Amino acid sequence: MKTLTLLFASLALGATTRVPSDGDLVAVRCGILETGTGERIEDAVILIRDGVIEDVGRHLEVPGTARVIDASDSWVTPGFVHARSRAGVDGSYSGTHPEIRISEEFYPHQRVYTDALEAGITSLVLYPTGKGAPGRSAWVKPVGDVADEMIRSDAVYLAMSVSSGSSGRKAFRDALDKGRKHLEKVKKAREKHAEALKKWEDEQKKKIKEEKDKDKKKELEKEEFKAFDEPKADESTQLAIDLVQGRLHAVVDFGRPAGLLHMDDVLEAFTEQFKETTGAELSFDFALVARSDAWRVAEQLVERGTPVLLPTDMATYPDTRHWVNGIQRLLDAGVEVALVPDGDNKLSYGHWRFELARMIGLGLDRDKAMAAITGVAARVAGLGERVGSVAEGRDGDLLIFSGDPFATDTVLETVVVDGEIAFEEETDE
Amino acid sequence: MIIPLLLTLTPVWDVVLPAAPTWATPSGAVGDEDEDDEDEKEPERLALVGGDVHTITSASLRGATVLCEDGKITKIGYDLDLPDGTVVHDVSGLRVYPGLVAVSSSVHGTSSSNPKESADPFSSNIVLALASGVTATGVGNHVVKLTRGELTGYEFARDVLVPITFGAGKPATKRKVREGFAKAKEYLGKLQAWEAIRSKDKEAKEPKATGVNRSYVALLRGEKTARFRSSDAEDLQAVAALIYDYPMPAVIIGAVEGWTVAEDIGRSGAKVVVTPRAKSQPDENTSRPSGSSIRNASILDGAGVEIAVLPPNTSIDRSGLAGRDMLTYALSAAFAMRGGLGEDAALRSITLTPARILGVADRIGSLEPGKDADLLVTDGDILHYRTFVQAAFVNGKLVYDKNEETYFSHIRPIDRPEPTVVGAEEEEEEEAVEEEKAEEEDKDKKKDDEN
Repeated sequence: MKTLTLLFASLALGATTRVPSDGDLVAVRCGILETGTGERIEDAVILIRDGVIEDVGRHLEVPGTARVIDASDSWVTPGFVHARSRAGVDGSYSGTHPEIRISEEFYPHQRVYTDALEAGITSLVLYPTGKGAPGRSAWVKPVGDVADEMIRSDAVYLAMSVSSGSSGRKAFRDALDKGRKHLEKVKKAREKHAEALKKWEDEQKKKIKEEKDKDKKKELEKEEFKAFDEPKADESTQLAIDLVQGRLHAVVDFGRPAGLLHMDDVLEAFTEQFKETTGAELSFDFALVARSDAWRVAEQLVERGTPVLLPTDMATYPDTRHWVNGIQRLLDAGVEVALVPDGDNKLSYGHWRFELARMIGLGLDRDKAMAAITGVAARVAGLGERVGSVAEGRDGDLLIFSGDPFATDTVLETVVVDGEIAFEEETDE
Repeated sequence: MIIPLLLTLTPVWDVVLPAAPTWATPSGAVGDEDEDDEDEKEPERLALVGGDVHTITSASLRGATVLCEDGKITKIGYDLDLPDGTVVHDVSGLRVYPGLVAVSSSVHGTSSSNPKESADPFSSNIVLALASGVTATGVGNHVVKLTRGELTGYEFARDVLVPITFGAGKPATKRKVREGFAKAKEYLGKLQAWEAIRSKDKEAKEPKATGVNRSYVALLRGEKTARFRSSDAEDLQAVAALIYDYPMPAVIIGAVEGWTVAEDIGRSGAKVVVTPRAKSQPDENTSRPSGSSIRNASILDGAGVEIAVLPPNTSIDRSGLAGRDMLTYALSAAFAMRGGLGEDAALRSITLTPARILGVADRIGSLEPGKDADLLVTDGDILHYRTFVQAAFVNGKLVYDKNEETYFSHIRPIDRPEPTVVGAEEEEEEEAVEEEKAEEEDKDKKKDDEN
């Protein structure tokens, strides 16, 4: 594992890499297309150039040079996005480590990735666990043989957590405080410099006034005070600064419902302290992760307007076995919901859409369920511009089903990743 | 997506409760017209009308009204004028009590050193504690309210108690504590002398506080309450003597043999927390009276001691016996009554006296204008074992409704009328009349069409 880590560390450049392509054009003819944003188009054509969607629409003209994937009798959706996965990774790094990347421990040859692909999951976001801010997650596609084909970005969202209890609160606060501390230091240094500058200028004026020699006077006038030398931040600190200035997207796991209240409590005090000590407003860009009982804080979640990532599962009333469709309750309240499979294994992946089918049967809105595992999931991960929907500029990741994806007799016939067929169900014919 | 950090912690009960509660305060019922002018927002008004109101501090009023504004009681009495927008709960035939207060309990399961940071306002034990009538409790040296689903207002007094170990069995600690108080008293004397002359004599130096126990100074100033745990007669006498020598607000927890030295405790002015169901055998090696007595609370009360009670187990025990744990908190007072304690004293022992011990009697423990709107609605005498808490309010918010929780809703249910909003009825009626008119018009039209 050590040597592999070294090998792949060289790939961890922060930049998003793309599969090289010969610039060819793929056209997918769809019977029904669900775009992942709630829209449904019949007889749509998707044009994919270099693995990226170029155009989508009804009856689009298909250039003769295009390779055609005929799904005109099928139901097409965006590839499913698993926005928070632990498939094939086990890193846990409690503390404030925005510089740690889970991609450093990525090992490509694992069966679980093939399992994901065969279940229609075309994007996985692997994240590090731990209290506070344990590190940054990686966007992986389950295609290819080597890490640099699979890892599409080694620096997606910063994984964070908060919980009730002094240590859980402190770890969350510390993660935010790292950036604030540095900004405070810079502010103080700047003030000190300004003070020194003023003093120097006063002295200089005096000197110039007293100086009688014209040349020397000119020389004095030309003199400049030493420029402000801003205190340097190391990589980790710089990322922590990005976090409190809204440049680093975070996904915060608040655990039980009380965790959200504790997060608010910490943030309230921190926001004030941040303004007082740095003179700037806190800008913290985050999505949330919760358990299935998050419906109990639906109102607080609506007020925040932040999407929430939940496991695909029914909740229960406290102290009972009475089921609650907590996900639908959140949707009813106006919360945007993204969903992840119950676990990171073949069974959970394979059953994902059927687990959703069960929940739709128990009251979950069908189209919202589809959005929850495509468009919204991508946005939670900060990948909304890349995957999760079928639109211009998005990756050509498509699933071709024999019918409604949530119907139990529907077969996932073909999985297209970057415009290439990555998996095909073997048929009896 | 950048989310501006506007943090609001307002709870909405129809989310927290398992089903839409019929008793929930209709949101936006008050002040809708004044939305533009938020500074002059109408207060949120709540009225419990027609119940038998047990105020604890003054008379019990039959069929009276309790009016609250923004979480505080404003008026208690008859024929009160209820402003438009007041949410009215008709509780006729039911009783209204102040929320019960426990000197010390672990109904929350939070850490005693920092209750707020480890609080889970969604814990089901909170629901059960509210069902037993508890709305506030001591946790360690702090006081918390059973706010449900929110942290705001949860921890409302910190460091109100100063625990002191003091007993006949530990002569060394006993001497140390006495020395500490002697020093604190001396320091206070010097400080007072200095304060008296400081305006005239600017040369006078402030006395040094080195080596003086700050907590003891606070106790002697009456700012905090000393907490002792003693049960045996000799220990109790030693504690009583200390408090007599150094007058301070004090509470003795346990006091099993208090009944044998009631006069001493009475003279000291200490309050006592007893556990009426606690049993311990008399000591066969002594000729003096010893061991527990069911009359403990009543004898202490007779000697002028203010009594609070606690059950033997101060957590919520779901398989517990009546009166054994916090699930049936009020029954501890009922057991004290069985030993001869008067009803008024028994009621005080779970309301005002614990609040006084915790130094928060200005906020909770009785129903008086100006105090917090922590209220219980019960279907009978709170000290009776068959009585259910029907509803509990904390800071004027409905936090428990028996009919809406899974625990007791099916046991002897009572249909309580849904809350109404003053001024809203007429509008509804008008609407209804208009609707009827419209329907009639429709019918007429249809008839015309048919014709």
